[in-house]
Amino acid sequence: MTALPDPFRLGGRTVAVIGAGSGIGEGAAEACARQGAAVACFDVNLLAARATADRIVEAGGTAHAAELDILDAEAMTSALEALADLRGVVATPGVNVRKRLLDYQPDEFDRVVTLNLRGAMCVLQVAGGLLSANGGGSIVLLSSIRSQVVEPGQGVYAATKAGIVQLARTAAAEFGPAGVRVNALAPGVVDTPLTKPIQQNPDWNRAYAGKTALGRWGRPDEIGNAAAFLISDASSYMTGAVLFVDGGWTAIDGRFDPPS
Amino acid sequence: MAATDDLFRLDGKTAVVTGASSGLGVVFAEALASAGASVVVSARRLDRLEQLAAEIEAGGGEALAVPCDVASEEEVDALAAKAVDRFGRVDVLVANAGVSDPRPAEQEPLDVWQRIVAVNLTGVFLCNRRFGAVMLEQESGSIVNVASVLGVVGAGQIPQASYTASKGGVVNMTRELAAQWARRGVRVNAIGPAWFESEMTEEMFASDQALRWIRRKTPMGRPGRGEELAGPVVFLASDASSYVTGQTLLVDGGWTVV
Repeated sequence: MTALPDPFRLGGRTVAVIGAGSGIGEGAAEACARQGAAVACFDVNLLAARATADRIVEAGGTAHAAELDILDAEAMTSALEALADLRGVVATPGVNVRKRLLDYQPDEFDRVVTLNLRGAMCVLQVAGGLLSANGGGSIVLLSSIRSQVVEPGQGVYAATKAGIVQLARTAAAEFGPAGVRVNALAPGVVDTPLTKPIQQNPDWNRAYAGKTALGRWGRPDEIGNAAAFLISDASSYMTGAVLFVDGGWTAIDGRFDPPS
Repeated sequence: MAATDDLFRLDGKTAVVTGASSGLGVVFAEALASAGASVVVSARRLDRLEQLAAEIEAGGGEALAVPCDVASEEEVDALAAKAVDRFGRVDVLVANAGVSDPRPAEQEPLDVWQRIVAVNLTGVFLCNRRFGAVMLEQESGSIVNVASVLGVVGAGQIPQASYTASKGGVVNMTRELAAQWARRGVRVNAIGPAWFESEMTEEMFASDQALRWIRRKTPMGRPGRGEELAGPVVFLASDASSYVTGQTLLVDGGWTVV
């Protein structure tokens, strides 16, 4: 038996990570870089994107940073078109307004739906078109355990994350013949700047950790590694899949009682 | 960036693969060995196992061939004893052994049903139970059960109630064992392949009509290649999936999305 080529490696490829400035996007950028990819770190916050790219370069990887708004299709088109050997796109930006349905305001609904769902749509249209024309590639969108299980106060966020699953599945069907794979990552509770306020509340922190089978929050690098796997050839026959990286949250039954 | 601490590798770990005498089992054993694991290859046919083990050793890996019928409690216990005796521990189990015998449900004899369920569901349980115990003792381990897309959707055109029921059972048993063992260091996941060429699907892959059906129904427009299951198995076996448990990864070219 000769040693098989390592299908997880991403050497000689460029991966664009939109939302690379913090949290899961940062984890995905670093994981792809560890596997040898040149990483284009995009974020609406240029300084944050630069900080991620700098850390990757300091660790011996290849990366550069640029400002990008996930809702700006024109800017995204030029940014991605400029990348040589683009084979993968990971998009993480999202927002949550935690409020019960009866209290939700129209502008809050629009804000969450626009960034989460239209942002995902924008990535599918731009990256889907570009990778199809380039002969293939892999797109990873960020869903959530909220695509499957809900909690009072998370209805609109959950709706967008379920919507992302169906967009990804449809994109998988539409782009499959062109060699473009599209999968969704569905993290559980993850230690990121976005979830810091919840983590700092001991009751919430315990309640969330306790609902997972593993009994703990996830780390951005654990989601990042899953993203790198879905970008790599190691997942070459996976498309339209939803990969839950949730510490077993969705594997267990049981009503969840968030602290009031 | 250096890959010396590559979480996708299995260096120094011991993996057990059942159903390793043919097709996908061979692919899993070779992939795990290539990722750095010592591999215990197991199936009912010893001659084929010994050949595979020799090939792995010739490539610089470490392998042990142990014959085992996974439907037999005693033989599964003996397999675990031999694996632990040789390598001291078991870090990864790939419960791959499976059989199928398609026929319309209204004509499916009870003994066929019982044989399929005995290997595909009871056999997977016996292996999970025995190797799970080894891993719980170590407080560390990762189990990958080989389910099927037919564990989450029906087949219909290739009628096999026993197979689909057994694979559906594996999908939910995977969730249950994940829930039971998560806080004791053992992760349990599954993969759900669609159509891959193997001994089991030999007849299907010889039929132009069946191949056309697969190409037409699969968004990626083709059946899977054996080595395309290696990545998902190694990912789930490795520390790269440290926050993943109770999941069934569908490796189906999009079969279940349309």
